[in-house]
Amino acid sequence: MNVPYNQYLNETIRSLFERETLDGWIAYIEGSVPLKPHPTVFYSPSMVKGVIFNGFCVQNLAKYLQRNRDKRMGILVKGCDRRAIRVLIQEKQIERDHLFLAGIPCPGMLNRTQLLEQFPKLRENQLKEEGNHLIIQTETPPLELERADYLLPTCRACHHRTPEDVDILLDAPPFSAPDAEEDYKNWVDPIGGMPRDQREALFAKELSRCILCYACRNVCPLCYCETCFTDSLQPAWMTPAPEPENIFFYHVNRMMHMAGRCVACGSCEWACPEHIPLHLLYGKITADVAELFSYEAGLSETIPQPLSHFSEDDPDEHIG
Amino acid sequence: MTDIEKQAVSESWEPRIVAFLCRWCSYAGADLAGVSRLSYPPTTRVILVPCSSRISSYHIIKALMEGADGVLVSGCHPGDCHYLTGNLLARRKFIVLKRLLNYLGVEDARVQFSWISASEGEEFATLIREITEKVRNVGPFRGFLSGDEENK
Repeated sequence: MNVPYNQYLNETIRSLFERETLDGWIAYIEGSVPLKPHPTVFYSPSMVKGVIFNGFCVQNLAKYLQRNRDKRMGILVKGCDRRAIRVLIQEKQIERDHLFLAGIPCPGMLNRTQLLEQFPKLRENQLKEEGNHLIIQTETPPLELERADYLLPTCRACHHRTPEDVDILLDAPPFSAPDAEEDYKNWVDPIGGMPRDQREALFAKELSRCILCYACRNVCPLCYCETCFTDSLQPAWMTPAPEPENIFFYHVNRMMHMAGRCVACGSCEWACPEHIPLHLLYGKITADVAELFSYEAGLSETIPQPLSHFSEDDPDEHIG
Repeated sequence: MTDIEKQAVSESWEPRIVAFLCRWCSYAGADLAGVSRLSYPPTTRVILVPCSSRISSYHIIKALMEGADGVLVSGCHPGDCHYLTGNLLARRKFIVLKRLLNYLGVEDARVQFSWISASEGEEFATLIREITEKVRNVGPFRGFLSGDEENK
């Protein structure tokens, strides 16, 4: 491949768009906020321009399929987007026949917060991703970093980077990071082993920053209820005031809704304006569901979700 | 809590426990305990629900938010559900919830689950005695995410 990767993407998407006679295509373009690419929908092949793919394309594009469910959509998918689409199909929210999936072997996404903390002036054009390295050009001389050291927590624990069962698998981007060895247990277990008051203090410290902006809910590809329990007035479960009890109510119940469904794409943590480590919450749910019911979300459309299903010899350690 | 407050709590405080009992087994079990004139601590506020699977994390957390010190959810034994599979679905939901609450630092005693059948009046009285003791040991509920106060 001699052309730059983004050019290759633009050309490929344009030709696939035309060939498959699609109504729209969902991809990333450069955003207005540094290191946050913007998801966009193109409605004709001639509109396709400026498509990019880099280590910051975290946001799950499956979010935009439901509102276009009557159209035949093309979409760029990483491993987690593909898994979210599978959950949506399983829940009968979208139809596979309406979709054209162009898979990208995901190189693992970068931790924007961590990079910006270290290099506050970093912008897209000053960061080059090459092979397993990041080259920071704001520094003189340019600094070369290991890509693996700057991966998002969720991408370190991801074992499904390359999307499976797609209509076409695109060429891999010219940058990557070695496959992950870690698991959610790596973060969740140390916390689970702490004394109770320390755990309470840890989450009080992290979650008390929450301003209940619901960005995590709004960005989540699998949060699609027409009326969320947070907005329900009858019954009014909670108020929008960012008090500890409302924050706790919101996060615990959202996690209960995600149990057995969360594909751990990391979009919620990526969207959080307060940088709350939400991977500690969905990681816990994901690890528990894997341990208790040997289930990983979004890998099959036919195996029923664990919380909509039961077995007669389920664990009952919690029943007094 | 100051020592004076602790003392006041230990002398006059009684736990308030919200008990969600299923209509077909546990509620009848509680009824039997009453009809058999068994004595157990007057700490529970019983709420009648059609099935233990009617209860979700909303109800349990809302009860604690509104001033309960503990929550009990009780249903039919596995296999005895009036709706055949309600309690089995509830069992899966509750183990995930219980582990998550525990992880977030809520004491184990605050949220409890059990199976009580319609004929188990004695078991119901014993259960209420036990959970009252457990909740009494962890003290009044101070609200969610309250652990950070000392660090402020």
